[in-house]
Amino acid sequence: MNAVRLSLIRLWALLGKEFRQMLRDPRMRFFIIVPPLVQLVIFGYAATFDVRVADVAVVDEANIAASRELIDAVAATGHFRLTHVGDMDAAEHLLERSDVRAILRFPWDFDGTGQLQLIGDGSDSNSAQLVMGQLSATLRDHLLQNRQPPLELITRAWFNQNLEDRYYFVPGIMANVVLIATMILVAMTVVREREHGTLERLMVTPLAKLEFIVGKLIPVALIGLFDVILITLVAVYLFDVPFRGSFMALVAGTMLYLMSTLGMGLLISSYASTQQQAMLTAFFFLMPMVILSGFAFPIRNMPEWIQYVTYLDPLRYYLVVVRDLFLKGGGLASHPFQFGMMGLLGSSALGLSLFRLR
Amino acid sequence: MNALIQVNNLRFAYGDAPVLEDISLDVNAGEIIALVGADGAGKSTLLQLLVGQLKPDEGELRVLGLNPTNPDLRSDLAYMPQGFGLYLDLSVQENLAFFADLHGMDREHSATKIRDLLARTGLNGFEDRRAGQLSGGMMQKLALACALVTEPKVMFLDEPTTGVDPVSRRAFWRLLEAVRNDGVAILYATANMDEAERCDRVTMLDQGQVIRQDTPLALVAETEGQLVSVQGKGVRGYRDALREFPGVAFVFPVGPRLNVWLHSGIRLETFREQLASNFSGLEVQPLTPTLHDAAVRQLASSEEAGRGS
Repeated sequence: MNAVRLSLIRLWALLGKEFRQMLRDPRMRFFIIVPPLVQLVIFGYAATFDVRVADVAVVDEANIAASRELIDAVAATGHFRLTHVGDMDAAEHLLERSDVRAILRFPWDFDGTGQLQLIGDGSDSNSAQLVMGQLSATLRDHLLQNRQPPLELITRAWFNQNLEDRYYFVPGIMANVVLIATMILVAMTVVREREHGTLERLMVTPLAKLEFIVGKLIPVALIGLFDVILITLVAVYLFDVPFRGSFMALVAGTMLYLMSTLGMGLLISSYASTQQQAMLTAFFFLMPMVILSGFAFPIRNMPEWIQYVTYLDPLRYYLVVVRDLFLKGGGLASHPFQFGMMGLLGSSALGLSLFRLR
Repeated sequence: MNALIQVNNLRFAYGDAPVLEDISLDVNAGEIIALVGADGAGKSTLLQLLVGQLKPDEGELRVLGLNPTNPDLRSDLAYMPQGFGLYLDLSVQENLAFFADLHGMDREHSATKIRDLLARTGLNGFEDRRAGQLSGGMMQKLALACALVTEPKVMFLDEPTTGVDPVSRRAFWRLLEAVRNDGVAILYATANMDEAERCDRVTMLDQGQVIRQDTPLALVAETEGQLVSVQGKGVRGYRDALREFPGVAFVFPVGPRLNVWLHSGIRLETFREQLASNFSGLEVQPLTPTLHDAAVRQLASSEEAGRGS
């Protein structure tokens, strides 16, 4: 009983010290609050795959009613700024100079049926695909409507009716920010003690190793939770992203996810002897984790063996949980596989780092 | 009474590189034992072994009768590593309170203790100053106060006066002597012989081995031969020549003079006459050797022995 009480007193002393140091350090205060918000704003406003206005060169060699009608339909969407040019040479010139993103060509033998040509700027394959996709969808819709009898294709995207990119990005940013912030913070606070020689001093006090580690993890875990709540509030009230799931499930999922990020941070700290080393090692792990998570690239498109590797990426599971909680709804029981895997990876990372720091 | 710190036939190596060989020493309550030696002699390693951060390959270590790795021990010992191990972004008061809390001290008791230590170290008035903004001397006093706040029975200090001015160093020693009088056993690693001279006994380490172990007075008295100073115009240019001179054991420059250890059995008068017949304008004076002089002589002869073998 008395031993537990003393252990709690020591833990409390360490926690008090940790919070004091963290909140006192202006760099740390900055690190906790500013990067999450900056990333959120950048991804919320700037990073969008939606085509707003794209420049397209139009070469209408046929120049008949049917071609003019199609051109009008394209112009009517408001997503394209059309430049009419006389021949393909002029159009190619515009594409080469990047003045236009695509060329839409009606060949001289076009008579309402037959072939149309759509040429995109493959040097920027991402936006070429977007522009060409949207152009061909517009053309197809128009042609289907003009059939006799007319045929209409009705499409709907569930959970995100307007396919708003920020609905997709904001939950993803949350997962990334928490990963980066907590993993680096844990590694830094432990390595800083080593670098300043205070760890050597601490280890010769009654403070046990486990108390030290718990005392280092709790403040960072709280910061991770704080960031999650901050981002959720900003997402819901500033970016109008819906939050349809249970808040408790978000907290529980975040805790499981934090086990992995904190465990990895600790693991890094067990290898690094300077803060700089810790930082570099953290980034070495961060990039692959983000790329393999399915945040930007669908996991199903990856080669099979890499798909297996993604099972080791805790971000992969948290991303699904967070995205679903925001857009689809759900509660504590709705993601047993993701919760289970995060728990498994988290306990392994923590266990391994405890073994290393023993 | 048993010694509070005991080291018997300790051997320690980093991989294949031996760091400490056959070390034995003990420190009783109310004693300050100096651990002297050049950088790399193994002083810090020995302290780390004694605070349980390293494990010996052979030999026996006992602190307060327990194995140093025993966690029960930690509430009774204080360790001041090189660089002090203070939290520079915490205030003087916060550093002291943190260490007191880690030792589970009663708040009221620790508050009294902290006030007392602040007064004794002259740090009162600086309670709210960040440790990183203290001068070297004050930082060192704070580190000592952080060690003392938990009322240890055994203290390990690793070169605590490095980078500290002489006035602060004297103040530090006054504090330390008061601690010794309270019955604390102190093992004090230092490279400064003038500090070692203030200790009760001195253990000289050289390349991981104990070369001498005794009281400072005995160490000086036991040193063979006579120490003389040679002065005169341009005397420092004669250093190499004097080294080869008959009867000379060791020559080392001190300021504008050369200090010369004569072999035992060489009479001062004989040396003076011989010197006068070879060099002109040199004056020879007998000196009372300090521990520093004795140590220089000791290290020189152990080096010679090393070369000879």
